[in-house]
Amino acid sequence: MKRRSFLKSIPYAVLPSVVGGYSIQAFGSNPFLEALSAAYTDTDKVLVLVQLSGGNDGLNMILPLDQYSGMSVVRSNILIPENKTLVLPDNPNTALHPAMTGLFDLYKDGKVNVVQGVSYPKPDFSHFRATDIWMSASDSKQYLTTGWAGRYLMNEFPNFPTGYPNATMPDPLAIQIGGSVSSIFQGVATSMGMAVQNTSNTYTAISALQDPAPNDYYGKEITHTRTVMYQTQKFYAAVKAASDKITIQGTYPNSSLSNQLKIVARLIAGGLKTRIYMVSMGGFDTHSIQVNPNDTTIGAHANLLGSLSQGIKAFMDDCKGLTIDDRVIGMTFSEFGRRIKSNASGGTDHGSAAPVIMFGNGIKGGVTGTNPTITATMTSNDNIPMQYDFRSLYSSIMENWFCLPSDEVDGVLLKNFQRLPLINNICSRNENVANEYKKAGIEIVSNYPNPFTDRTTIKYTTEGGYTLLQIFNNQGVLIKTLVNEMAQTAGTFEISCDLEGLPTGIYYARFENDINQQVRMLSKVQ
Amino acid sequence: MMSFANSAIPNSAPPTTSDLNPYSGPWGREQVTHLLKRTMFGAKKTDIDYFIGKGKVLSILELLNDKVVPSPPLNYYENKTSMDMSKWVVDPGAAFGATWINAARDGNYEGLRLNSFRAWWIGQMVNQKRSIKEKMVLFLSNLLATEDLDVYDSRFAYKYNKLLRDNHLGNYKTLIKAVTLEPQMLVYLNGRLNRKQSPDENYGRELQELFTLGKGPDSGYTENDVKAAAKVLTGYSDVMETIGFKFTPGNHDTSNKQFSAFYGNKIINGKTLDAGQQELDEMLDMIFNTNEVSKYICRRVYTFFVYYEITPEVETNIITPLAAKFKASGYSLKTLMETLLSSNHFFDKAIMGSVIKSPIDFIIGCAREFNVTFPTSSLTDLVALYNTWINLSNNSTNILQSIGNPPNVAGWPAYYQAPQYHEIWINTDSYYKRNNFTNSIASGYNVGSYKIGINILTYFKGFKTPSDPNKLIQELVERIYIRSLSQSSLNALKSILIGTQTDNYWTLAWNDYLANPTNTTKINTVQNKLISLLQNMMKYAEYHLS
Repeated sequence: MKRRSFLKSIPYAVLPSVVGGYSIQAFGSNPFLEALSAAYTDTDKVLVLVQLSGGNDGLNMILPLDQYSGMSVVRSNILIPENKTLVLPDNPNTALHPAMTGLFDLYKDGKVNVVQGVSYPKPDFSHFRATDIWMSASDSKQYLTTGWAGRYLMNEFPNFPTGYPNATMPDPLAIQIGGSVSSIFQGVATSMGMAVQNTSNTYTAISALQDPAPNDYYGKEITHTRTVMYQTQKFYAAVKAASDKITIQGTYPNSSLSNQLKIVARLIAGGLKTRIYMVSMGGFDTHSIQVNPNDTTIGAHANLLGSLSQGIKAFMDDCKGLTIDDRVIGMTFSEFGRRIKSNASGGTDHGSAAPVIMFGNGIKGGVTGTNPTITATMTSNDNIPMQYDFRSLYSSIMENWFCLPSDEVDGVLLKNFQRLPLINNICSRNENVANEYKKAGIEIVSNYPNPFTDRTTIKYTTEGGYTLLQIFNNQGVLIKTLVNEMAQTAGTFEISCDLEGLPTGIYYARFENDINQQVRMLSKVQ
Repeated sequence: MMSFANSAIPNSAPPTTSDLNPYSGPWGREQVTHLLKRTMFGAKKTDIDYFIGKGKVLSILELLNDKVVPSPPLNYYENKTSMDMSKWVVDPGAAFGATWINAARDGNYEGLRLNSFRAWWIGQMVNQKRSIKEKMVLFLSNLLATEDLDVYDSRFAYKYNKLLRDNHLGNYKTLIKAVTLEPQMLVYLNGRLNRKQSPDENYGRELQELFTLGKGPDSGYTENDVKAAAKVLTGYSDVMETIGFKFTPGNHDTSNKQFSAFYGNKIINGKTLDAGQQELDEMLDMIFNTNEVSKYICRRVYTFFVYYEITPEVETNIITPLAAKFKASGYSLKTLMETLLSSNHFFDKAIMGSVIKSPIDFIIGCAREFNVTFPTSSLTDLVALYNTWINLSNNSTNILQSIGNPPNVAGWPAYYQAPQYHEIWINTDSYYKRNNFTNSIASGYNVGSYKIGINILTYFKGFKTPSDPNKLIQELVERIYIRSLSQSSLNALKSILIGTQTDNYWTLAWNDYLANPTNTTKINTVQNKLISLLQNMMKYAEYHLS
């Protein structure tokens, strides 16, 4: 498996389909080609991505109970009564939306981790650009044409689709349930994913016309279509065979998401070696009337969250019955959260950070991060600050669930992101120490004076090693990086933060040290 | 075992260097087929022959000169067949065979009326004139996307579609102002809820991001511009009764709106009372005053009508001069299209056959190229006619394109999602379903009691020499593929007709059928082989390109 390092040195954008000077034309019959085509990491672990399209109102899903005085002012027309929420037993200041009883049960069983404030520096408020960013795992102003899961799968199966399926990987690498494949699976030359809507399809093979595709646009599209034609023939057989093996499944409610998750459970239990599945639900773009004005616990957003929660619960129960529950974790995500302040039409406009829900037996239960601070004076310009970069979640999944070596994780994500202790250790590596600071309630980053006019002093405590201290404005735009040290010595430090000339309002100091992380709200006044 | 023709997917095709100057090269089947496939749905043989005789200039003029206003969609859904009168479907707003487009909104019938609208739209495409109109309407309904099932008002949907149709080669700036005030759009992007107390940014954002400026490298509008635009747009709402809009000064934000340096730090002064509406004109002047609108629209046109990869050469040689001309014309879509379609670049062989047929192009093009017949438009056939149109629409929905209902306000991902773009239309699910459709239409299938399908024997009887299997295959390839095939591929296709026999086997079978045109056995002998030939050829990649 030495070729890994060789491949890694090639930038993704120019990864050729000719490897080491050998043009790969035949299929798995040759041991050398077999080795080239084989996956590097032997894993039976599966990731299920649940996309919530439209921008989910995270503040109405994970409710910060200690912020209700502010919430009751800035979200008065949509706020759920505190006594109706589902309070997390081990985090009494945080609660789930009342429609999410299924997820609440899973949480109590220690199978859910709520990651607070997930976003990225300089968030984009366009659905389409923000979705691209989440799919490609790019920086805000970086344009990547590949998806992060596509890059991960390219790293594992470098020559795909040439030589696939083969004996080692007879199945689709990734499956999107539905009529089209998400750009999250996009590789350099082709999509690494397959769209599956009906598992009982069979495809009668036709012999292909053999005329070589010319090296022009016509030839490119001919080749794309031929590739899909070939995959359709091969992979439908594998999907149908896996699906046919499972005759009894648990019960699911009748919703689009549940129907999708039911297929996923079936295919996993049927023995597909597919690593990543993606399911999706839409409707989260709740600009107006997201709650029933007479009862804020019900309405459009409640229906969405109820459907999500019921679907995940039914899926996890089914996985348990099919004895695949130790092999599967899931993650919800949406392109952005919504604005803190609700609008006059009973909805919320596009925002930035929002919580992500991780679920599965392999997930460490609990809440990662802290409740955002909501004050009564917040305006429609204010947004929830980032606590965790979404790519930290991807990197943690790849390293701790798919057991990808750390440097390769960084290669897939094109830089290093903080790892988070979200997943039970299955890769027999030394686990990082738990976040003792957070448990003890110690502030590892603070500032004085606060509020301040131009300058404030920020105090932080690092355990040593990689230490980062950033300042964001209320739009999530990175204003400055005060500390960025690869190997800082352990200790408590102070640094001056100068915001002279910048508008008054709310800023955030974000501190990161190894797995520890904290965000502090700074208030700049006249 | 099957293998690919290419050992690898070509990563980058060579960019073309052809320019925007008028094309004056050869004018024959190749050029006309290309022009028709890109501007209409499919290229019918009769149309190809017609335009070859016209020459380039007159052909393009004719395609860009369609002023016919179609008659509106009709109530085909009335149903009084049940013994139980309470189950009758009787729209109080429109009698059977009459139109509902000006009827009062009726929640009980909006779904049926929207079906009628969707069917009618398909009918416009199937029966299109020699005109670019229907392709432009589809293009505009994607660029200025709304979702009919989301808005759920049939009159609004029809009126919006009519706006796009009537202005398909009109002035883009005028069109954008009309779109802004269309009830369909005021509902879809929450304009009706955008009031000064708490602006709703939805339309103000998409107006800039998707309808005018885009997010190209030189598009520099800011988040504050979105907020300022939302304020300008406060106070408008839809009016159900008039199928129009109204402006309520009390809901309009009368503060001054400060825009960013991208707009030259423009301030739109807040105005009170009805004068508040002038702010919209001032804002559209400001937006269309930038150079970005023309470049963005030209890129969208190019992606839809030419190819999705805009290389640096295309940006320099095509987009930049085309955009300058478009802007100088005061945003005339006709100028834009005429310039592009007349150019050397458009007739460059390197772009011919490079577009993957969209689902609608795939289905409507198939129906038109194979002369699929439909029920007549007489009142007695009305139900069957609309049902066949609905069926084609449902088939298209099934392979990812529901007309009037793109996935979201950005339209179909095939027209914006890098790097795959058009390739998104074909995946393992949709490819399978495309084949199911062509299999069915080749053998014929029933919609209610009407059998829709290719009339195989009539179609092949129109060939020059259908008794010669070599000439038959050759002509079929010319008619339904863009480029010719190698002799070995032609032979592989011929084997579907003759098996392992000699050519004469087919000639005898065909002539035997001609001599006994009512003999079922002899009909089936040739018909089954021809159906099988078509079904195979429509599976191949070559058929999915246009």
